[in-house]
Amino acid sequence: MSDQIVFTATEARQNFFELLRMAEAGKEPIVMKKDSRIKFKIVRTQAKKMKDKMKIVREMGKIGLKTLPINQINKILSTIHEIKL
Amino acid sequence: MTIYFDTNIFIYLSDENSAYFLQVKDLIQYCEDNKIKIATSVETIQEIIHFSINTQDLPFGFNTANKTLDLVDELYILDKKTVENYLTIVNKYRNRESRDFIHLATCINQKIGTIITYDHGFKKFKEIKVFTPQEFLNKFNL
Repeated sequence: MSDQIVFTATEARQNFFELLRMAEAGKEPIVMKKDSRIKFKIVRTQAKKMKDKMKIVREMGKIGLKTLPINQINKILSTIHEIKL
Repeated sequence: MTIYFDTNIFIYLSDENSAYFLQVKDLIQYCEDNKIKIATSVETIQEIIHFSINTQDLPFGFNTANKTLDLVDELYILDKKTVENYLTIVNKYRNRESRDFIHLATCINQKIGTIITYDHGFKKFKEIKVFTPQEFLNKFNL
């Protein structure tokens, strides 16, 4: 693991915008820190995909699970914890 | 805001010809429009599978369970705190189904104040507000 390199707030701010400019120009994003050259990698991330709940609802409606009146559903579910010997 | 769906909600949602499909659909649309999160627990998945085994409908039960996982924003596990809540509630309400206590304990643990169910037995619990989908929508004059 490489040693931690500390930037001052001013350096970090300047470097951040410089890195963006270099990345936008298609150059390698490299900044200088004293005698060292530090290379960064900038990657594009995918925006988080929103789930389409109404599409899921429509798909669920097509499943065709055998539904029963609520008292019968409860009767079946109440057997969950029965121990059959 | 987050609301908790009981097992029967997902069962009725899995048949577009069921008596309650449209009510549940409207409720989910309302949740979408108003950024209300939908949650349930692993107990619900277990109950869906148990129900489908008993109605000899297991392949459909798998589909319902998988789509339930897709649909919900949160699926809560049964951790130690939930089980502690469960034991407290069992001692308080001794005449209700054990599985109901798991749903209730999960809601208490997650600080969820509303459960949606067609099981009117939940209305006995003082710790939580209980609505059918239609009752919940009626609150907002929909």
